[in-house]
Amino acid sequence: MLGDASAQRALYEEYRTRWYMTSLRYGKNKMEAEDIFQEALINIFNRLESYDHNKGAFTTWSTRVIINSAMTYLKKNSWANSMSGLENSYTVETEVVDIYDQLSAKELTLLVQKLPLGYRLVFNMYAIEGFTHKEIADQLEISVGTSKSQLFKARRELQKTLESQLTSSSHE
Amino acid sequence: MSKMDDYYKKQLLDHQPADDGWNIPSDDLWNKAQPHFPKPKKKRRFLFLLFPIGIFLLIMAGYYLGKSTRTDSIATEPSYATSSNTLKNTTNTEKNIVEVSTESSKDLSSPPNQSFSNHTTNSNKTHSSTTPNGIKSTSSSKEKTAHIIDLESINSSLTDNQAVYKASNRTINKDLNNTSNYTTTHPPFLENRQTTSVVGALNYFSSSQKKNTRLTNVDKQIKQIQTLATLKTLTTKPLDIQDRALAQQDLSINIADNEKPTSRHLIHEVGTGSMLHLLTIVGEVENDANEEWQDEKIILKSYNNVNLNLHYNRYLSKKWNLSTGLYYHSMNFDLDGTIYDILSESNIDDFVSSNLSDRLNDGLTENRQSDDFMIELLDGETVNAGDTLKFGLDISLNLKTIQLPILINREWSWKRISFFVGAGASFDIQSWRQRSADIQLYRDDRLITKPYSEGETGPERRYTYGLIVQSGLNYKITDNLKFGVSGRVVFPDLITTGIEARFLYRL
Repeated sequence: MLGDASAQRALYEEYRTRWYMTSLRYGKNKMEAEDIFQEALINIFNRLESYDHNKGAFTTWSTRVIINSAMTYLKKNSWANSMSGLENSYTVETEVVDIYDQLSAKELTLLVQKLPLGYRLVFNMYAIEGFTHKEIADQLEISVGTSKSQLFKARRELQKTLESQLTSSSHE
Repeated sequence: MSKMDDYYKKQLLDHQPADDGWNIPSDDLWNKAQPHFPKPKKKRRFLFLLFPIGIFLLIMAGYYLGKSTRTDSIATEPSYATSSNTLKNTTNTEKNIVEVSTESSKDLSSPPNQSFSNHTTNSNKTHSSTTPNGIKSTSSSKEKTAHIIDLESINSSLTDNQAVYKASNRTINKDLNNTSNYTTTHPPFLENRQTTSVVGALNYFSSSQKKNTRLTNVDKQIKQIQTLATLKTLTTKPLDIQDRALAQQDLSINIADNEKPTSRHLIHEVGTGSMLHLLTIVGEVENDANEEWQDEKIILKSYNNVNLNLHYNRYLSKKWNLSTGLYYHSMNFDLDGTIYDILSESNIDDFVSSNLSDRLNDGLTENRQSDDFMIELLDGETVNAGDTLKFGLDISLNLKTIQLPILINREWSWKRISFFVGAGASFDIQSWRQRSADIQLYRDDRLITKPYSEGETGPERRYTYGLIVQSGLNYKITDNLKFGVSGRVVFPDLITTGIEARFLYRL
């Protein structure tokens, strides 16, 4: 695989949608997502040698590399402001009204992209990737409480955005 | 987990390509990323195999050529001239049969006029010949051929002391045990005083036969003839002193031939030379323009280069020779300019490292400070995998190389000049030494490292192989001394490519 262009391309074809959708969720817009995706591709193919199939599925490993690439990218570009002030947030878990049934994956992705960086990261990592708050806290170098509060805020933000969209669409 | 999370997960982890293509990345992204993927690894295994295969092929070629040369050498014995003898040598290497005739002067009291002619005829059919002197030789040839002696025609006269001896070397079937019928009768020539000369000729040919064929049966038959000839000689009347001297001379020539049956082509040459490296001639080399990074520029300068080559050539035939030796190069390089590189996981520790480097696998950025090379980043600066950095370099290097080559060469001669081309391989031992290095790192054209300078380090040894192609001219100054100029290109490292002047001495 290493250095074999056709094999690289075949692997890319197989996983590109998954990788791209993951990137889209972590970027705040398509442009940022594409930057993440591009860096993720480079990292995946450069680190391919380190992948050990005994330690887990390739999907899990590659998704992890994408997330790490996103972290690196975001930290370099927009981390400083977004991640400050996350401490001392309260931690609440509430049920959000189920109003998403009619939304497509594309629309949901757009909603996630609109979340502030901290919310977006925690929501993606917790809700989609299945990280625990402890793992998220370790990854983002924040406290577990902060992770939980970010998740709460993310959900609330998503709900608020959606409600406003529904309201505006119903007025129309 | 909330219901919303479940829904999101369900929706967003469905990775089916959408009809409108919103979740399919454009090929542009792939095309931009792909150049940064790892390049195909060099097939070193192939290169490692190439060398022994090359050596094997050269040896086989040498063996083949040597074999054919020995065959040729029998048919192409050189002529020998003395003050009193007129010698003729007609050679046709395509043919297999040698006929030697020796003729003495009629008058014993006058200086002998001996001719030694050597010409060839071709035959691989059944041979049956009866000499006027009664020696009858019948042989059958089917497939492969070999040489034997056939005393085809020997005329002698006891009255006028004239003898003409001919020894023919004919091609017959190897399996003479079964197919040849070689009969002899006592010819008049055995009464002749020049029998010794015939014996010498027989000696020569029989020796050649022994060395070049395994026709034991033929050898036996030749022995028989020799024995008969020798016995008969003892019974003849004493030779005239002058003729005896001539006969001895003839014999000595043939004995000398027997001792050196490999012919004049199998010669050895030793020599020494020195090369002007291509880099010395060119002066400096600049890298090609990089479309991605326009201002990338590296200039390689080479200076104070020294080279000494020792040569050994072994001729396999007139036109082919194997050459080997030892080439020594000492070269100095200055590497000056800027290059760009995207910091990857694998190379980040090549020049910067930190105790946090393990965490890079988690994709988290960290401040890295150099340990290995002590390149110190400016305060607040960080480098991460994926960073595009510009390296400002000013590096001075010394390279010492010992090459152990083996080449096969083909020559074309014209008067005193011979033109040759050759190809082969070399085993190279390289020793790199860094004399000094100044390195700066830039990101977005902004210096991110403190001034950094290194002293002498190394040497770092490297073993490698090279493929060599060469061509040149040799001028024969004397019979044994040649002066030559040649151009040699070495792949894949062109560093030791250049033009060489050399002297060769034929042993």
